[in-house]
Amino acid sequence: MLLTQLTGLSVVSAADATSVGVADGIVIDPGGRRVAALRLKKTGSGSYLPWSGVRAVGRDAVLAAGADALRDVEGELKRLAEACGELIGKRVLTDAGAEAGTVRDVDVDPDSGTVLALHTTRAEVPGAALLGIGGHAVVVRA
Amino acid sequence: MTVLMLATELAKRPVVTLAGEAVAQVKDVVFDSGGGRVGAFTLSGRGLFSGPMKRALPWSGVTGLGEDAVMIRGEEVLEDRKEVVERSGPGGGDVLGARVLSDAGVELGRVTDVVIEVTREAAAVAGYQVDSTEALGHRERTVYLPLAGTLAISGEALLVPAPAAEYVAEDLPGFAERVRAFRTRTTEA
Repeated sequence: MLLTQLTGLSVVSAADATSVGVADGIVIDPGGRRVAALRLKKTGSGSYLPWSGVRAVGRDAVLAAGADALRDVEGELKRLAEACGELIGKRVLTDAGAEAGTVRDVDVDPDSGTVLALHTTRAEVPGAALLGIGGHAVVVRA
Repeated sequence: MTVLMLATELAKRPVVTLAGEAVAQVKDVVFDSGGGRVGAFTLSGRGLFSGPMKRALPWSGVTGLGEDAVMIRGEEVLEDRKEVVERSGPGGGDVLGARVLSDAGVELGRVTDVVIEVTREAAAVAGYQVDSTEALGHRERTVYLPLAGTLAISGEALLVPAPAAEYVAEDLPGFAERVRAFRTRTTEA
């Protein structure tokens, strides 16, 4: 599923079927090449839904374990959340120091949260080539 | 893969970690003693903190040197500037403005930039951008002169074997070819 498709989906609590927010983005853990959390347009407390709290990602909605699964981010996750804040349009650099376009979209596996591919303005980069995401750029293997 | 770049173009290039954070920008290129290779980069901060930094980047810490960024594994590869510069030793120094003299005693011009040849493993000096005298054809023309295998270098002058003058190029793309031709000749000699 593409990040642009995921964005805007309503997030519903599986515990009581109430809406807890709207998916607004993803936080990627580049080390594990997977989605660490979903960022929500907030309705209550906590703006992030850790992947462990995601029950299902479907065509029309994201099911969360419950409203209490929502968190505020801290530590390394906070750094990643800040770096992933404006993922689309972010500069892509190779580990050889050359620019490789900007991020157009991200393809994630809705079941496992694995990052399958990074669509840039120039190419499709496999998720396995992802090295890091920071304030300056997304870094991929050349 | 081999890429040629000019040393002065490296200035201000961002230094980026593999985690995607820009931690500094290049201030100057430090050549190792003898001037044959890039030994290190001195750094300055970015944006609001754009003063010179106490830490420098030794070549061993560089993961990739590209057109758009200098890539490093992480900030831990940066070292104390003084130590890094001392390790590079004297002599590499600042060659910009130095006279280029052939070993026959003819002044060929003045150094205006250093051409660096970047491969995965190293960044070696491939030659010099020179503001030429009549000895290289027209006066005050910018040409590229391949680095001689045996050369003496100081901040004052650069001594090159006379045959190097036959291998000047007028632009960087043409220079790569000339460097190869010159090297073939020097190894055969």
